[in-house]
Amino acid sequence: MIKLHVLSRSQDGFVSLFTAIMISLLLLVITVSLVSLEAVQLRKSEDSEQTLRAYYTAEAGVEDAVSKVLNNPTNRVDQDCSNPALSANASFDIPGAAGWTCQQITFSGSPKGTLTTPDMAKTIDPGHVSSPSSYNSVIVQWNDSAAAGSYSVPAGNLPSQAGYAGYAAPPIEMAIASYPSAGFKANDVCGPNQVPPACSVQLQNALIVPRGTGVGGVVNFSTLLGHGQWDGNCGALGRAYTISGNNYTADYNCYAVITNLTGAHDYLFRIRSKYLPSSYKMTFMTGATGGGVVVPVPDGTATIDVTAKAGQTYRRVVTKLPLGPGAEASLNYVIYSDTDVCKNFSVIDNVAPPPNSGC
Amino acid sequence: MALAILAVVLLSSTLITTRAFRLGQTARERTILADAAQVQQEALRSFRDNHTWNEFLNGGMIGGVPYRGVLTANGPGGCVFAPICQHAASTVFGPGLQEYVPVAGSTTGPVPTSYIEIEVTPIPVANPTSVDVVLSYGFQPLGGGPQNVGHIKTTLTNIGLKP
Repeated sequence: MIKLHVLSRSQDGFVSLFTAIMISLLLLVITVSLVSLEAVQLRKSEDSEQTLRAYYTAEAGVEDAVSKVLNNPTNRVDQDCSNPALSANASFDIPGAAGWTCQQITFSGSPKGTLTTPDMAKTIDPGHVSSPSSYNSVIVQWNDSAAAGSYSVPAGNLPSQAGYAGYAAPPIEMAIASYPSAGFKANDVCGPNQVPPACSVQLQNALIVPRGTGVGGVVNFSTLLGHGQWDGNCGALGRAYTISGNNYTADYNCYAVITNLTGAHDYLFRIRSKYLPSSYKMTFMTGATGGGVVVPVPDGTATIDVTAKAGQTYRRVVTKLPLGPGAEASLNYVIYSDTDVCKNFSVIDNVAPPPNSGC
Repeated sequence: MALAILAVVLLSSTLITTRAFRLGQTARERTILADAAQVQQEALRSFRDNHTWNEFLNGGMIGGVPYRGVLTANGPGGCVFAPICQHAASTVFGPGLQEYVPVAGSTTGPVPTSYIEIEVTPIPVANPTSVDVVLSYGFQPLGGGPQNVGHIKTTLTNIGLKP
């Protein structure tokens, strides 16, 4: 009887100990889980705060770049990240804690934009481009920004005619002013029915009408004078097409290549969307028929690209800064104004804005 | 024996959990405060973007009511990091005229015991074209201990949209 009692007490102790260990293990699991959750919260909070600091440091880098551009408006030399003395600032916020690691400023690319209202026009003034190479053709792409997507060719010709409904791209009017790279004088401007070499500064227009995928796509600059409308190669977005050996996937419904430009001339383009708003992109190419490689040209903006670091967190901010009116603003006025303006093209590189147009 | 083990485990578990909860709570509150600080930073940027550079620096009038600029709004009042500071406050200047403008002193944040203050330093030239903005914030963490502080620094420049 005594032996049995001892055994029972021993069993009770074992059960109690086992229960205590089980409860301890359960508490341990709960505690570890809670600590893990709070550790994650702590990490998220730190990441969030460092991201915020990196973002505002990157914004400071952008503002610094804006200062550089605005305080030296005539110096439009690209700044890359190869020279940290110019493009980096390691001690913007508590030396070593936050700063920008790369501040790029570029003044060129492939101009693109939106013509937000029908018949709106924009001027693309690449100026003289010789490095790394001059351009000899331009691929113009466009679509109806309000109805991008599928594309169908209706029976009508122009939007003013019956059957126009269904176009997902407007006709484009492209005015091209060409002038000798070597310079020219006011009396070099071509008059009515006058062609080079009798004159050297020419203004010509090309009306490019959207068509199907199988037609068009070329605007031959050398036969522009007196030519009727040109056909744009249009179709659905995402379709594949080839221009002089280069393969493309359509980001815009329509394209047309302005061919046979020459490095001996510089060009000023004014793109106008007829009847509908439009998005456009112009890609300048080395080949005469749209082939070769892309030539970056000044696109009227400074692209500022800043990467900043706070702690171990990086943030990148890219923005575009519209540059002040230069040659293009005045040339717009010169070419398109009906009022009394002075057509002094010889100051193309440094045209002052024409307040009341007295030269 | 079992009771002793249980007591030790329970006690240490409670201590660790409490500590972890406090850390987590501090982290949560810090995130909330950092977001509120971002509101202040953006309010100041908006103030820059919607006024001339001179108004941004020195103040002006809205609906006949004067407001201060970032160089003239500094003043005492709850400043912790600098003797004088400022913050952006949504101010009503008349019917339909309400916007954030710089106001002297610090402001309280959405977390208990918190504060947010802004220190604006112009570049040291006669007519500064940019200012450094240091936004500092802090609060007393749950359970006591040293102040939990942080700051965000950026630069605002005369971007030339308005003279």
